[in-house]
Amino acid sequence: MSKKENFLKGFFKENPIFVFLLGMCPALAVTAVFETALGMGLLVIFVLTMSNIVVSMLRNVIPNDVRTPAYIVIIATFVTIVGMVSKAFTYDLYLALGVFIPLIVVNCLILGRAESFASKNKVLDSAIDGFGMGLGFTFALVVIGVFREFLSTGGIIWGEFLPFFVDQPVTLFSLDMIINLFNSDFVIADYALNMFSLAPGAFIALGIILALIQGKSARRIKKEIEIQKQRIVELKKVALAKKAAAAKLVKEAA
Amino acid sequence: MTWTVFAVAIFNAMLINNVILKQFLGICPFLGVSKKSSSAVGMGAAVTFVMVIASFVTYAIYSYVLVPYGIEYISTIAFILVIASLVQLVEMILKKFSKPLYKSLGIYLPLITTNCAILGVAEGNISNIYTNYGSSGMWLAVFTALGTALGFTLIIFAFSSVREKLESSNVPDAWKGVPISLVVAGIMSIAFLGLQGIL
Amino acid sequence: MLSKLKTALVLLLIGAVSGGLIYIVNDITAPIIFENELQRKIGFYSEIFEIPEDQEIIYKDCTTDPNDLVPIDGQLEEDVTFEVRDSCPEGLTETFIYDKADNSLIGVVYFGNEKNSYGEVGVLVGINIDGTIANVVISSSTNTVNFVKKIEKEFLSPFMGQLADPQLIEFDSATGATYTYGSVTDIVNDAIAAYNEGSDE
Repeated sequence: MSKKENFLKGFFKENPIFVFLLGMCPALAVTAVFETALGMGLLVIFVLTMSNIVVSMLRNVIPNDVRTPAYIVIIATFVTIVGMVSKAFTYDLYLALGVFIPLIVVNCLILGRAESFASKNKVLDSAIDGFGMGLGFTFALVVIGVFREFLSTGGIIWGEFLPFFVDQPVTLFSLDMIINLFNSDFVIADYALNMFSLAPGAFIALGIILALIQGKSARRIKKEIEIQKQRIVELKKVALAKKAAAAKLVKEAA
Repeated sequence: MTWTVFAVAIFNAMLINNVILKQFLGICPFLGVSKKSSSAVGMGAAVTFVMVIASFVTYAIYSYVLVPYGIEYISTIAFILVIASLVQLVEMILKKFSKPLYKSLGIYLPLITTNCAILGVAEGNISNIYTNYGSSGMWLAVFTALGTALGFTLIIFAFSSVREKLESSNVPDAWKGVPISLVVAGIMSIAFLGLQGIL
Repeated sequence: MLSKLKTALVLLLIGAVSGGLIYIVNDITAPIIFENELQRKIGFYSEIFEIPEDQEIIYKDCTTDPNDLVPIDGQLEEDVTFEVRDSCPEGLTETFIYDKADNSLIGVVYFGNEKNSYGEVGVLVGINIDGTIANVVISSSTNTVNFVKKIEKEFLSPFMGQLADPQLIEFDSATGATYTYGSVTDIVNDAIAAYNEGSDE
C-alpha cells in the first residue's frame, strides 16, 4: 500500500463511521451543531495521530500480554491533555462536548487502530494512518453535523464554540439569505425541523445518511452484477460460435 | 437522604434520561449485540453487574483519593484503569465461583471495557452528584448507576425484539440492516421524549 | 521471573511518563483556565449591569472564600442590607458585585443551572439594589444558537427593569424552544425568591 492510499483510505473505503460503524456515540451525541462536530473531530485527530505514533514507537518494547492496558494508558494520557487544552483555549467547546471528551478513551476507533495498525507498522506509516483515519472520522461527523444543523435551524453558524478567525458568531449560510430577497420579514428558524436537534433526530438523521450511502453502493453492486452477467452471456456466445466452428471443421474433415 | 430520592434517581436514570436514547452512551453494543434477544439480555445483565460495582468504586476513589490529594485532573486515566481491571477481576471471580453465571455472562465481559456507558456514567456521577453532594452522595451514585443499567437492559432488549421481526420483513435494499434499525431507535427515542415532563 | 519484571518495569515507565506529561500540561493550562473563567464571569457581570469597560469591579460569591479570589479593602457602606451568606441558596450561586473604586454595591447576580429534555442551560439573573431586574443572560446552553438568540430577543428583554416580585412570571409554552425557555423562567423565579429572602434579613 502506498502512502497516499494509506492516507486516503479513511475517507470513503474504510470510513470509520459510515463503513465500520465505529465511534457511533460521538457521531450521534455531538453532531446537533456543525461546530461541535468539527471540534470533536479535531480532538480525535490529535489523539489518534499521537497515540498511533507512540504505540508504533513502543511496539517492540511493550510485552504482548499487557499491550491493551498499556495502550489504554497511552490513549488516556493524550485524552486528558486535549481535555485540558480545550478547556483552556476553547472553553465553550469544552462545555458543549462535556462528558464526550473523556469518552474519547473508549472510542473503539482509537484502540482499534492501535491494535490493528500501529502495533505492526513503522512510525511514519502509523502517523499517516492515524491522521487519515482521524480526518475520515471528522469528515463523517461534519457531514452529519451540517445535515442536522441545516435541517433544525435552516442555516450554518460559525464562531460560537470555536472562537477562531472571527470575534462574533457569523452565519455562514442561511435559507433566510435567499428567501429574504422576496419576503423581508421571514425567519427560517420559526419553520425549521426542531426534531433534528433533539435526540430522536440524531438517530433518524444518521439512518438517512447511512441509507443514502448503502443505496448508492447497492445500486453500484447491482450494476456490476449486470455487467458481469452480460460479459458471461457474451463469453457464452463466443464459446458457442467456436464450438459451432469446430463442429463445422469436423464435418468438413469428415 | 430518603428513599424517595433513590427511587426518583432510579426512575430518572432508567426512563427519563435513558442512557441510550437520550445520552447516546453505549451505542456500540446497542447496534452490535442486539441481533438476538437472548444475547441482548446477557449483555444487559453483564452491564448492570459491572456498572453498579464500577460506579461505587470510581466514586469512592474520586472522593477519598483524588480529591484529598488535589489530582482530580487525572480522573479519566484512573477511572478507565479501574474499570478495565475491575472487569478482569469480575471475570476471574465468576470463573472461580459461579460456573453457570460465567457461562452466561463470560463472553460479554471483555466487550464491556470499551463500552462507553460505564465510563460515561462514572464521569457523569462526578459532574452531577459529586459537585452537589460531595462524598455523601455515594449511594445516590450507586442507585443512579443501577437505574442507568436497567434502562440500558430494557432498551437493548426491546430493540432486539424489534430487530428480530425486522429480519423477516421486506425492507428496501438501501435501508436494510443498520439504517432501518437507527430509524427504529429514533422512533423509540420519540416515545421516550414523551416521558420528559413527568418529574 | 525476569520477563515478568520487565513487563512490570515497562508498565511502570509508561505510567510515570504519562503522569509527568499530564502534570506538565496541567501546570501550563491551569492558570489560563482560571484566568479565562474569571474573565468570563466579569464579562458577564459587566454586560448585565452595563458597566463601562474602564470601570473595574470586584465580586464576592457564596461558593468560595471571598478572600481567595478578589480581596476587598475597607468596609462596605452601612446602608447595604445584604450579607454574604455562609451557604448558597438552594440550586443557585449568589454573587455580589461591587464597584472597585468605592466598594459600593452595584447589584446581586444569581447563577442557576438546569437540565431539561434538550440538555443543560445556565442562566445569570442580575438584580439591582433598588430591586429591579437588571438583565437576564443565558451564559451557556446546549441548544442551537439560533434558538438561544430568539429566546434572548423575544422573551428575556421584557424582564429588564421589572420589579423582582415573586408573582412575576407565569410559564408560557407558546414558543418553538419551550424546553429551554421553561428552564430559564424556572431559574428566574428561583432567583427572585432567593433575592426576596435575602433582602428581608
